[in-house]
Amino acid sequence: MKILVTADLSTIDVLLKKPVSGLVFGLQSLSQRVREPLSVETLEDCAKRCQKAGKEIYVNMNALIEEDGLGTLEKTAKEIVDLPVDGILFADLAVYEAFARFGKQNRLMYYPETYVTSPSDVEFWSEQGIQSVVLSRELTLSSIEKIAARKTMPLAMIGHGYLNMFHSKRRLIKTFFDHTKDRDFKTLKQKTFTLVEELREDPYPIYQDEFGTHIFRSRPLASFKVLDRLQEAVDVFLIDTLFYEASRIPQIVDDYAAALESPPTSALLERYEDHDDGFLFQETSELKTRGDSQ
Amino acid sequence: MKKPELLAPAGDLEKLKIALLYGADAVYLGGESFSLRARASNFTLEDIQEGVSFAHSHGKRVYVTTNIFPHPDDLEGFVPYIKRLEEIGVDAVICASAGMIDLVRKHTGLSVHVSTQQSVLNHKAVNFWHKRGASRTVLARELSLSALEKLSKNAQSELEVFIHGGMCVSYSGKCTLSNTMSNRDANRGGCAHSCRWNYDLFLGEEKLNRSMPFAMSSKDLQSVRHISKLIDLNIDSLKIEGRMKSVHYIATVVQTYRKLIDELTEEFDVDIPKYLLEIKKAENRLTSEGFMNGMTGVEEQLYNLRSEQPTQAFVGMVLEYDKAKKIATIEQRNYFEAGDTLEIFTPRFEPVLFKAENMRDENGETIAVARHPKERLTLSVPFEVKPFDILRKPK
Repeated sequence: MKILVTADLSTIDVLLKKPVSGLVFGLQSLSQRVREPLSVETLEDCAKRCQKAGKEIYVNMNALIEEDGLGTLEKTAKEIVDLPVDGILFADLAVYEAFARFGKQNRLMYYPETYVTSPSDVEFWSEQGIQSVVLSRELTLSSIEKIAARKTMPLAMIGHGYLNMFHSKRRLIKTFFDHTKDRDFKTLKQKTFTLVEELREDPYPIYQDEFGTHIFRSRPLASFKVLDRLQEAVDVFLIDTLFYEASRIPQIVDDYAAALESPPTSALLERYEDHDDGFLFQETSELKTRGDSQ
Repeated sequence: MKKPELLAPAGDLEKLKIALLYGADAVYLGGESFSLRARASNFTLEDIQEGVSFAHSHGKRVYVTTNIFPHPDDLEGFVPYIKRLEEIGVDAVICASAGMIDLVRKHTGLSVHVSTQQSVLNHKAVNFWHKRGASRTVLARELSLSALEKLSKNAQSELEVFIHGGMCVSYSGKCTLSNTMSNRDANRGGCAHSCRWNYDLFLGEEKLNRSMPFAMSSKDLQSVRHISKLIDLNIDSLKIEGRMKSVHYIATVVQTYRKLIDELTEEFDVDIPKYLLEIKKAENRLTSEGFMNGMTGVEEQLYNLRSEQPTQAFVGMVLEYDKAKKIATIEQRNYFEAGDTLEIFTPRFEPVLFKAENMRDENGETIAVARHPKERLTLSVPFEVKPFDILRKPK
């Protein structure tokens, strides 16, 4: 199983020395929910450094794209299609079309976050000639294993990190303050806030950017306890480092490398007590009944 | 000028018939499996068959939603189900999952519409699905008229656009708030509408919302002023949301858009304020024009804590009419009294007022009030009414 870790300029040096298969970078205007995204020129430089260090390099182009953004996409695709990039993560089908134009769809990893949920989805995408699919984050471990048992192409998954659970195009924080005048949004320097539902205690990270408003689960996912099972099921394991202090990331990478070699120690697991299992054991099959409110 | 299809929701057989009789060209409905509206009164295959027969006998169409994102065990029975839908003669299925689209294409000859759950935002994505057999794409509700104009110029398949009803505040198909907070999968029919709950917003320890809870809820979409532009753009289908909505809502909204589309394609001067007023009668949540004019702001959000608006009272539906005695038999839906001024709402003529008189229950006993929902009553109506005509009580 390949281990990929999301990176930026502040973490590249240390991560190139770590036991990971490759680094994933965001790209300006075309990546959302990533660490500091790169320009194409910087990406080119990073690609060379990764090559030299014997690491693979992946680019996250997971933005949702409207007509006005297609020009930027096509220009960027042309600029990076000949770079030594090992994979491109995408969510919008316009990205598929942009690379298929060059016959390079085999570089692509489909990463729509919620749309790859069944063996039939995997089969469909394997017929499109892409490299792999990133399984939906709301799948249980059992569902992941069922899909893996019938897989027709390599499977990837987000194995570690904060899972996004909501993305609106609306600028919900600014709009709220425009209405209430409780605060002036422009004067709030900090980027990330927390949201707490009135009947619950979990604080959900929330922020607003050029792509809209994003909300995340309260605790980041950690998969150390089930790494042996995941290793059997998936081919690419992604560590998403969004929101982590740069100083904590090398330890996370080292811990996964260690856990791949031998069962995680209690000391290792203690370091992740502020994490949870994401949806790996959370069944989400309950339905509403008439009269339910929440 | 091409007249777009008016597509309405059908939560049950009664609503299907109402939608078609009040002017929809097509309806969409969910079966008992594979559909997102788990709470709607979903259709059995027998119901679907009856609905298709009714629609086709009126020269209209039925689309069946199979728009969940299925987990591995959820696909059991899907292929036999879609084969049965094909035998029944449904006109298309609406799918969100790529795998389900693929299965429909490989196992049936059914037309496939790509659901709005795919959040398709550009013509490249539309054409991707077209090349893979989809005859139509239901576009994301985040698109402005300007974006729709650019998209529609290069799209190779039919386009469907939402014009009215509830809106996800998140990009559709990409939200797991409900999964996380309630163990209910929004993409498998369990959405708990967590985006409409109340929250507090913090910066560190400091609570930032002081005057009211932090809210994300959106107003419903209403597009009366923009239908003309959508017709100009040659959008193929204009869709009304709301499989959970009432008969009165469906009848009022469908009829309003029906008349508006007809007038816009046949006449030059259209009284838009009249249509805005009419559609307001069915409003049970405040409305806005969503993303039609571009990025949303305060006007498109619901910030008042009690935002539900009372609808114009829907008090009954006509079951039959005795022309000789001028007596209508109705099914009561909401409280009204003898002497109340009521209105007949029908697809055949403009609303007509009359006074509720000579009210009797099923035993022929004179009654002063109609207080039992679904009770059959008779009352005098001084002009001819027909089954499915609606009685409502003006505000």
